[in-house]
Amino acid sequence: MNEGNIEDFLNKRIQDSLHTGTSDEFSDEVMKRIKLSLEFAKEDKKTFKFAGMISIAVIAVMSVLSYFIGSSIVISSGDEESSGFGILKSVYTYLSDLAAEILSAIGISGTGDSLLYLIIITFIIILFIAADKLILGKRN
Amino acid sequence: MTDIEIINKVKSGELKYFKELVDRYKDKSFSLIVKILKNRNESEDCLQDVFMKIFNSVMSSSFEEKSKFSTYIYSIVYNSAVDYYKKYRKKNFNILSIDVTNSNYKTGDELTSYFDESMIDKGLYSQGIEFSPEKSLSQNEISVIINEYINNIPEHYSVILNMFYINDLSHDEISKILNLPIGTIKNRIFRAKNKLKELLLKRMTAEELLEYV
Repeated sequence: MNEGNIEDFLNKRIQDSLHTGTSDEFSDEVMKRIKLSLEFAKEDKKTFKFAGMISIAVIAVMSVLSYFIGSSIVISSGDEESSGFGILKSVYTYLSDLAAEILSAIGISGTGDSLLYLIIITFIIILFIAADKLILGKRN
Repeated sequence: MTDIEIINKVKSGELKYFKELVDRYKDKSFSLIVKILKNRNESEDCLQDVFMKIFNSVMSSSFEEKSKFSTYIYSIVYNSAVDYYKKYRKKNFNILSIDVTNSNYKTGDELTSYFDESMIDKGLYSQGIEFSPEKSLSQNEISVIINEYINNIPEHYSVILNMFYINDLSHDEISKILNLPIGTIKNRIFRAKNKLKELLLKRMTAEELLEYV
């Protein structure tokens, strides 16, 4: 009986000694942090949505631009003087010749056009990545 | 309101109920973290992170209702405190680290080897209490002895004692969280309590101690 009482006494006193409390404002601080994190998450979502829209817009502009340049070259080939694309055509011819020379210099047979297309596609990809990084950089 | 009811309220967007959960578990969790980190400010920082984790897991429904929510919380508390300890102290927290072949372990002195018994007298002195062997101990003096003992007990004991006495976890639950055999858990609780009894009975008779029960 006595032994049991001492055990209960020790249990109670050990419990009291182990107990340590947080500061009074602890719960409020946690709630503040949670509210802030929710606000940040909301902002992040908004920015991410905005970045997505910008990316789609950039892709659309790039596609339209590529199509426009491609078709303008074809149109201008028949009527160099009257269309406003004469300069574009000469730039295209110059670049195409240059590309053909580069290809033959490295020993690959093919037209200059194929290398030119490759350069244009690479340029578009680089432009897209740069735009994407710029947007993401601002987001972070 | 039960924990699960609170969780469901929080999930449905009633954020204010989460404060109830924080109030319910903050002190008991804090007691456990302090035993590991031994620093109040760091323990509060760590506990804030714990509640952020719990909030995120409530919102993402990653808590499975088949386990007790309190056990779930205390396992997060323990693991987060150990991670915090490893990250900022740059060393491992080893709950196993007891050398059972040491002669101190056999006598139980390993439990008191971290503090000098004269600390009890210092503790009594700092409270303005003068100890005399002839005079029986007062409640206050007993509190000082117990506090000194508990505050200086090695963490591989104090963590288990805290989980058992403060967090109300069963031997089985503690064994699962700490990944230690259930026998080890029971043994450490028994040894820690027994050593305290021994320490008190060195300074007073069982009859005197019973007067305070």
